[in-house]
Amino acid sequence: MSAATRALEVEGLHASYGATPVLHGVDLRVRGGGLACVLGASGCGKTTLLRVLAGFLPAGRGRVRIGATVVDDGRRRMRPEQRRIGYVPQEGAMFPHLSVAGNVGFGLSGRGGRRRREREARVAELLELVGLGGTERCHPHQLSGGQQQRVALARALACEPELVLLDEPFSSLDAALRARLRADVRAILRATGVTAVLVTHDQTEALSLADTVAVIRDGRVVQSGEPAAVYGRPADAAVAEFVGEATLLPATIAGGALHTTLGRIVLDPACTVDSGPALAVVRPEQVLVTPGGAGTLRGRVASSEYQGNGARLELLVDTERGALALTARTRGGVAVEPGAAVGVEIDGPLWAVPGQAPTYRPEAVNGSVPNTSSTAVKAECARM
Amino acid sequence: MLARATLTGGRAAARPAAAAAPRRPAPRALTLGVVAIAAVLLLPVLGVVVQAVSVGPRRAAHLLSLPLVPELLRNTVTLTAAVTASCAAIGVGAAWLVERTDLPLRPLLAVLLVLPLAVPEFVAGSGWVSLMPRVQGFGGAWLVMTFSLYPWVYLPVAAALRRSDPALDDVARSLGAGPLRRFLRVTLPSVRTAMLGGTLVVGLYLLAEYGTFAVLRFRTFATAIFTQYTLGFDAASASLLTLVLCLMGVLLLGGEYALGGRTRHPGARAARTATRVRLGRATPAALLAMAALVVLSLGVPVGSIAYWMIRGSSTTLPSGSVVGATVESLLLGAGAAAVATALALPVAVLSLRHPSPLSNTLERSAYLVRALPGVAVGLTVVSVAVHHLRPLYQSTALLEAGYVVLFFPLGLVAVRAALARVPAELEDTARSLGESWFGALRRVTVPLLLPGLAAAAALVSLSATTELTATLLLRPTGVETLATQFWLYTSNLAYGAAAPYAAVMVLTSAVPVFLLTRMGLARS
Repeated sequence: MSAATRALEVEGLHASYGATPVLHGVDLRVRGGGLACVLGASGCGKTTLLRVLAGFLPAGRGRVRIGATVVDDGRRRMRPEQRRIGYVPQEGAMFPHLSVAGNVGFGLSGRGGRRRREREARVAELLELVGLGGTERCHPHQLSGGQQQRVALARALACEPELVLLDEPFSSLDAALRARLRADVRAILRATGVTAVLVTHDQTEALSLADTVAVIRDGRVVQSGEPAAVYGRPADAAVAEFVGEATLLPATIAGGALHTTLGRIVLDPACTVDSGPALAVVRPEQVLVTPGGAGTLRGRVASSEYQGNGARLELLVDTERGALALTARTRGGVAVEPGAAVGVEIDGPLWAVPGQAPTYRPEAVNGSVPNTSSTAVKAECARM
Repeated sequence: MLARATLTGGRAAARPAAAAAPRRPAPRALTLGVVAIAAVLLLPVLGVVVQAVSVGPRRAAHLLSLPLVPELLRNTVTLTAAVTASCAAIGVGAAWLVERTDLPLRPLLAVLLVLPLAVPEFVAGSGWVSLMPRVQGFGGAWLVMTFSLYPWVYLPVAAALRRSDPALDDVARSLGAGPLRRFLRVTLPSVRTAMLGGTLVVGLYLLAEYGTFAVLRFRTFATAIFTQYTLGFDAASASLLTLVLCLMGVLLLGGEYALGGRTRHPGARAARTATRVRLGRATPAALLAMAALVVLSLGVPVGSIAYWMIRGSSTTLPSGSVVGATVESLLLGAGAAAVATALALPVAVLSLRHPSPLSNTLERSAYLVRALPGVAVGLTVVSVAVHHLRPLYQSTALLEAGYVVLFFPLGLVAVRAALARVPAELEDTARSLGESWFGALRRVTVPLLLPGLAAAAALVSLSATTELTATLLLRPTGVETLATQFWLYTSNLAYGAAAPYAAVMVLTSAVPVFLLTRMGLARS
């Protein structure tokens, strides 16, 4: 099976969650063998998207194609069991009445009457693949959360699906385990060459795992691309703040540069906004801090959050129009106390997004986008 | 404000993630099957209406203006109001004492307080009368029914208390609320749904009861209908009264619905255990109250059976007939249980897994049957058989059909509660692994549901084994169950001869009742 036949293509997908419309024309392309992370705040429609792909929910309009097969075009749809999809739900959803072998072999026994010996070999092989060889006879309740997720992945891969769907698979695990399992899952998916879509609200997870990140908001994919592209070249202010931390600086673009209260800063030549008012995206790592006060700009530390390998600083930078709040990150060693005077340098070029809202939003400082759109709230209520 | 805010907070937090997720439309075969089940179950409702309408408006007006009707109405309404109120008070109070205080002997009480359910009401009534002939009329009916039926409130309220998050109480306390305020504004609202569900069951029992009221010489709609039918002189009047009775049942169902008996509440059991209220010097009084409750509800009926067993041992016991009646009752109960549970499963699957306006209507119409008293079901099933299915008249199959219609809602409640605990995600996963809808049901849902299905079947068989009214109306000549034999002997005041039948009924019922306490139904 060539990679091209296993590509996933979603075009103009509309879907409702109960009576509430949730997806309003989602477009998404994942190349065969690729891993796409659908990233969005809770209630944005990402789980609904996954359920439509799996066939648990019907599409209202639009088209879903897996490989060469159209599985749902808004009128005719293929049943979930015919789609050759591996599904890894939140927290694994092990069949509690079956052993680990029974769980992993569940799909095998249903298909074409494979011989028992052959099935056992396949189960053993899959458990080996996810690093749980020899656990065949265990029961789900004897496994830890991370192990259950591994078994769930093995179970999903058992029937050699064309597409694997993972619904926030790491959300219930603690941080250290999450990082390890994340790396393992990525390696396993790579090794099997399966196309995968993972849904998450964790941007670190999306950026570190995916070949393609699709940011979804209010039922639409607002941007998709390689992680570096989504982080480095966000499509709009909300994406900039949701994917990674950012300070949005009102600016005017003229002559390939941004004119801001911090002075003139070089504009990223790839930027599509090329004149007029815009918002400059300042990432914390682009704010260089020198203790003591050397630098083109001066400011002081408003607060400092120690993070072990460095610190996250909230700075107040002096400008002609008063103090401007900026977030910076320092790498280990340099201890900066709140109140200390520092020199500040902006490490351009900067990316800019359309918009000119200089209104101060306290939430934006933390990098999280408050999602109060009515559809999201309604979808939440519909789920109650 | 406080209680409401914290309650909604708890509700949101405990919301099961994917339980209520909308899904693909239901398979057509499932929908059609459930429509067929609902249609069959609703036949008796239709029968009642058709019979009553055939009386004609002039005759109906005349019959309903007879002086008997206001008296029946007054008796039925006042008794229902009085007994549901006292059951609610006793049920909630006892549940709070057992679940939330440091009362001694709690584990023992938790069992003793539910056991009255194993004593059929007409057995309890006969027990009281046989020892104290003065127990009769309204007062007697109130006494017997209250102490027989309060466990229907106690059970769901205790389950709700166990499930509700004790942190709510802690929060209220940290905000300065005293014990009374906490009880009224935190505890009571959190068990309101359970309490309403329980009182609905009590109310429906009261509307349907015939045997107890006949023994206690208290006239209600059910006893009047039964008398008119069996004496055979006025079928028209009986059918008209049946319609009125059914309407009262529907009114109760609607009332519970309007009062918010269907509000959702946290599904997950809180992991924390509550800090129990220290009773301190109130302990002896509380214990005394619980002891009195156990004596009145369990001690008197069981004691009377024991008393008559000993007294009656001098008379010749028809022991062979006890064994025969036991086998007959158990077989009938098991058959009804198997059919009712099997029919309840598709209805529960449709309503929980494929919620839609149609599936909601179908489920609700199945519950509507709950409003039909045994008298009404018995009468209409008989008349349908006489007019349209003559060969079935006087057959065991007809009796079984009556049981199934009568106890289907009970089975549905139990199956539904069990199905709600099986995550829908498991079925989704099975389907993504290549199983069809039916395959997922067979390989995942049903194996996980087995304990729940067994409990549902046990509940139905308990009720069918001790059912008196419908059995009297529907049984083929010569078929004697425990209930009918007991009834035959007590009607002739042969309490000694009746006692062994009562003893067997109580003992066989104790098993499913014990199961019921383990299930901890959210609402009955």
